[in-house]
Amino acid sequence: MNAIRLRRDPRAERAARLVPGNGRQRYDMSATPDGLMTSPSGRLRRDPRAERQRLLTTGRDGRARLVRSGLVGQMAGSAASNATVVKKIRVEQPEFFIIVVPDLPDGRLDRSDRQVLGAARKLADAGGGAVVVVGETVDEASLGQAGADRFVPLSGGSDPDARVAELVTVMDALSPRHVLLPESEEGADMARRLAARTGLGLLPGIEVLGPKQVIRPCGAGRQEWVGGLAPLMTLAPDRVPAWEGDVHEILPLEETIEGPVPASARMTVGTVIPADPATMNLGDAPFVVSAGRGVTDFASFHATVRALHATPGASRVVCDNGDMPRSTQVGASGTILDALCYVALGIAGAPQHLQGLGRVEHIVAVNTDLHAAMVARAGLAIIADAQAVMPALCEVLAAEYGEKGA
Amino acid sequence: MKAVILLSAGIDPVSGRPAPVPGEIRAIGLARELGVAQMIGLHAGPASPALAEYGGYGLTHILCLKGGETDPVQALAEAVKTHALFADGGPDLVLAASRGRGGSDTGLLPYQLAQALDWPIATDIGAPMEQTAAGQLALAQFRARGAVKPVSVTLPCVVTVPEAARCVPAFVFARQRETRVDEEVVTVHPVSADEEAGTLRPYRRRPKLISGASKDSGGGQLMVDPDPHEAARAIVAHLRALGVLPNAGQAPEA
Repeated sequence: MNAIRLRRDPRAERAARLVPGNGRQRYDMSATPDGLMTSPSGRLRRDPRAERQRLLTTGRDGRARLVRSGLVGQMAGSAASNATVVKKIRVEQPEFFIIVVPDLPDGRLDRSDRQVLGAARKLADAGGGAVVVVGETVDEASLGQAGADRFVPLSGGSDPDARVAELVTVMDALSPRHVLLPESEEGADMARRLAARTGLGLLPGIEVLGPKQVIRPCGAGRQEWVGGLAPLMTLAPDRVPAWEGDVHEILPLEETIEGPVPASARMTVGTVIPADPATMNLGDAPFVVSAGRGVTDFASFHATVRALHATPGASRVVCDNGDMPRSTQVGASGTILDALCYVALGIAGAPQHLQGLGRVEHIVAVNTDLHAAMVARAGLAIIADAQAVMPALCEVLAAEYGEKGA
Repeated sequence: MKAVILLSAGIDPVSGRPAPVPGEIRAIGLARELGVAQMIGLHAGPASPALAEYGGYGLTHILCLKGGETDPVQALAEAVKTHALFADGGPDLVLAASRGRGGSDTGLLPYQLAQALDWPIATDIGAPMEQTAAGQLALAQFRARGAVKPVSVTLPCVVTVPEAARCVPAFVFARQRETRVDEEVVTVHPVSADEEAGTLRPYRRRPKLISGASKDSGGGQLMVDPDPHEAARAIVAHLRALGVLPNAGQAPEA
């Protein structure tokens, strides 16, 4: 036991709280003189006044309230909630750059673009780098949300070689550590053009991406290659998660990028011609309308399919009866669909038929049986006779498009 | 028109035995659809009996560049530019598969060859289109969901053909038997490119990220015995919300 108790010096403590007032000196008893207060014996001293001050907020009705649960921001009323600012992450002095070239179909980041940005974010955060998105115009809010720090606009041209030349000037200006692209149709093409043009190493179709090593399939998918990162990489879809963290702020780039020397275009790529839904391959079709045993009037069915701009399909029974060609059969012994939406008219949903809908996201069922398997699987189920619904559907669509279309 | 088809030492993904690569078979079919008069298969590597199988699809003359496997781009570019076969005029077209099967499968070689030859490269070409101008080739670039992009490229050019192309020529066994597979020894001086140090091991299937769980896993909206018009309006509204129907403002095309 310590026999000698250390003594407080009240005069010195009061002198430390002395503040200059207007005209005369005052004591500010609420201020802590210098950081944490310790008693002369070395024990930490509480400051109940300051603690109370910290807990004090203005409630919803304007009255002062003490919030002891630590949820000051949430308990605060409208006045306080207005003051909350969305904190954006700023990467101001990056150690290095990582360039991401997203596909931007329809000028928006798609799923694989977000995943590539997530991968770039992972690599950048491991060493204090910044993610630079190079692409055509896209709104900066979604870019920041996806984890980008900088944005370099490209002038979209129809010649892929001109686009590569522009990318090369950006790469020359920034000298990035890595360039990441999605292994989609456009991204894969661009990555290989870049690799051939610059002579940099390319690792396409990466399935596992770590800070030190990557894994990619090779040898007809029977083997995998494990090794270090390359300057150019493309990511297979659905392998690396998209960025879920805080929003990043898009800052202007300090480096200046001059445009490429224009070269004569040796190749032009036109705009996409979508396939005719009436004749396209059933396995590729995005929107399929199918007939089952509940459909007997096939003229009406074909009119409905045409009005919906869909691809016609059929169940096995309908094909067996010869009402529809065998090439339209959906199911285990027909075509496995990769559609976005499937409309089942008069189909109960045999297990063999449902196997053909493995990858379909949205199903609409029209059936007389409330307990059919297709009704249980559907996002919109209508318990009615398909024969009655089909002409009504044609009428509704004709009423909506008729004046403009005709 | 003269065409060169690049052949690789492909393997079957299931059995692992030597087999023709689907994209290269379709490249032969595309060359025939383009009306190519003379086709020569080029393979950077020693001759193998599996290569004769391409002959069955119509490629009855195959040239193997033994020793070219150390730097195939250099060997193939040299052959295309200066080989005695092309003394009376070089090839106008080099066709290749979009991806090989059995090697590193990067699909990079046609691009590097195009760079070495300084030719343009048109990729994922599935079919020819109506030819408009001389010295230009109008081709159809295949895209997802059956969509097509028209591509116009100046000759000579490199063209890659995907597996999705539908121009598969018929296999004739008699033609395979009369296929000529020549072998030539070439010397290349591979640039000492720092080979990316990595290891190969058997492929391990890894689960993909779960895509946003499909909304319609059942338990959706249910309408029991509605009026047909009411049902039709509900279907149209639902389809429009999913984005598969065009909005009421714009009429569907054609």
